[in-house]
Amino acid sequence: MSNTPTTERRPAKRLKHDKPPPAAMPAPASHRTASFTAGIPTPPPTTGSLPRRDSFPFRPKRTTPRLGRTARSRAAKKSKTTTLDPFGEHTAESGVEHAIIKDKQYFEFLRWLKAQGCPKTKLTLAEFSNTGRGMMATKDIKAGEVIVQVPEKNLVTMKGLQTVYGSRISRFGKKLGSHMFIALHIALLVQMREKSGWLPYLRMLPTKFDTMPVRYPEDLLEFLPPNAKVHVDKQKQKITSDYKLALEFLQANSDLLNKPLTYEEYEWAWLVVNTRCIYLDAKKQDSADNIALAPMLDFLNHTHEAKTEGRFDNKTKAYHIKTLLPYNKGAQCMINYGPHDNCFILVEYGFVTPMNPYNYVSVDSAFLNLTIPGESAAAKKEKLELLDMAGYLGDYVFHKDDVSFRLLAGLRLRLINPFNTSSATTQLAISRWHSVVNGELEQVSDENERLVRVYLEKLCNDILADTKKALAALARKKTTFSVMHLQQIWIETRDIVLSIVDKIHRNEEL
Amino acid sequence: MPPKLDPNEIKIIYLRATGGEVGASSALAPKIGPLGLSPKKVGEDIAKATQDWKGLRVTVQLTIQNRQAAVSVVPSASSLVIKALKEAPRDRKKEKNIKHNGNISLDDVIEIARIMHPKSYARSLKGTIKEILGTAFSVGCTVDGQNPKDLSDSIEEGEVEVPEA
Repeated sequence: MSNTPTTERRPAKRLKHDKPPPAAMPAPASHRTASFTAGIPTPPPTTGSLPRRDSFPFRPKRTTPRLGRTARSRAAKKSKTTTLDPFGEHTAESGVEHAIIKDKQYFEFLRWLKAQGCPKTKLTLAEFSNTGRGMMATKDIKAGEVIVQVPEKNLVTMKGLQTVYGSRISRFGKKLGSHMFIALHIALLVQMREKSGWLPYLRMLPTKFDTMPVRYPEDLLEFLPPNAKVHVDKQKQKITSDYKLALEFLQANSDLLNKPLTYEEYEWAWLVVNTRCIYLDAKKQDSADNIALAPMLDFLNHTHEAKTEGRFDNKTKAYHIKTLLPYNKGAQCMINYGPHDNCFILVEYGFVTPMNPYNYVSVDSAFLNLTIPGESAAAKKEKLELLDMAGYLGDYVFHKDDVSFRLLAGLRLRLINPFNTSSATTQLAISRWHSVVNGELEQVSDENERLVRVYLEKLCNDILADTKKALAALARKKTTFSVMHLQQIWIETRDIVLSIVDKIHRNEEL
Repeated sequence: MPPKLDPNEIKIIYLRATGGEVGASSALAPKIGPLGLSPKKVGEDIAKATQDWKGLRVTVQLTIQNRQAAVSVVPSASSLVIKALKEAPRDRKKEKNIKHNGNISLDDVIEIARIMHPKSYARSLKGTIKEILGTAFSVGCTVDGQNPKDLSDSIEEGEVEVPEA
């Protein structure tokens, strides 16, 4: 997907491709760089202060000669009807700057949408200083209004692809996942270029996904929190196996190919699907052909505050997104991707959000590696089996000001020492532990409860040490978006753990 | 599960609780403990969210997303009728076999019917009003000083007018 510079009739209003987006960064790590579109390189952020107003690059300079009266009056009319001053207007409440995007690619894309029968929306693409590209409301939007409609024809779904590839799919024999296949379809469309009929949309897609942890260089990968690293490894495996399957499919249908499909091309397409797809029917997540790529809709950014409903309307044969919150003219319209914490969002979508209430710190490995004096290896194994049977093994987390009940249950059992299943005292303690887990008793014993606090603090300190190390190492790195994302994640981790330590020190109930 | 609008792991739990009281955590723990939520804390949240329903048995809906619980009260006809009676809160442990022999107005009934209408299968509001009158009968109170059943009959005959929506 190369991005050839385009000739323009009105160069003044164009967002320049070769310039990085505005450098304003009130909350640095909140950039959704993955949603930057074609040609804009991920810029190394210039740190600190807001940009001067004149550094916002869209103020036009007159390049055309002064025109006649009719042309002027037409221009005046036009500027009245275009709803916003496109040149870096401040939205009142948040101080977020934005500029409406008016480049040729976007207009071509809009024309294409119209030709495909997409109804008009009250949204337009704009560059925001805090999130990168997003959709801006051009008119006030009421709560309960449908903000985007994507007709069935425009949705890339497994069902739709079955009509395109027809019997090739059934002849292939192996089961093709919808994620894998839609990605393959996109990769093939890119190879076909103009002939695909989708070029205006493909041009709007990001050229690279450098902020996605799967694409991190080795030296950044090690700074991911352990649970995120596991997540990334899984993702990588999925891409590799999907790529293999795609190659097999292409071997059976070699007429589809213009040139061999490289891993990079397929990975790019896979990530496009991963970061931009939606669930058609949110209720039944598992059914195979349930995901869809929806042009236009995929420019909407995520915030945990947004309240949206998305569903496929059988009457109008289109996918609707309804907002349950009102938006003022000029504000960025957001949707909610789901109740995710920042680690998950970073791994799956390649950005992080500020003040995410779903953030948590996983302490599974710290819990399993915890050494407790007086606990033999055999006793530990027995305890873990007992936890597993009770359904309380794993998924131990800290939230802000909150220790998960699972972790408390785990620690309480681990701290029953000496642990000897044949002795009566141990059996009594275990039965008391079961009662605590079932909410019939408050605690196993006073001593046990005291130790829980001591070891909780020990866990916290272990994690804090890791956090400190990671942050110190990250501070020495060149500041890129990825590094800033990681920094934010570690700072949030530190804050959560500190809030727990604070709680223990204040002797509050856990 | 990468794509967007992900309903991932939204769990909804319904339970009956007495409004404004912190219930026994033994009722909550087996349901929400494995989800990592503290039964005690959620119990307190439920008590807080049901302050308006002191002493009444109400159905509570817990929406759990990514280990965070939100509490909301599910309106039910009988709870709403008893609430409209405005009885003094009483201790459920001391008084047994409570009788609700109070009186509510038809306007109260219509108001309740409006709340319950989305849940009701009745085609018009009139049908829902009659349903609520039936609930009032089963609760044991009167409506506008009359037996709810008689009132329901006179609505059916058209002697008493009720709004369409």
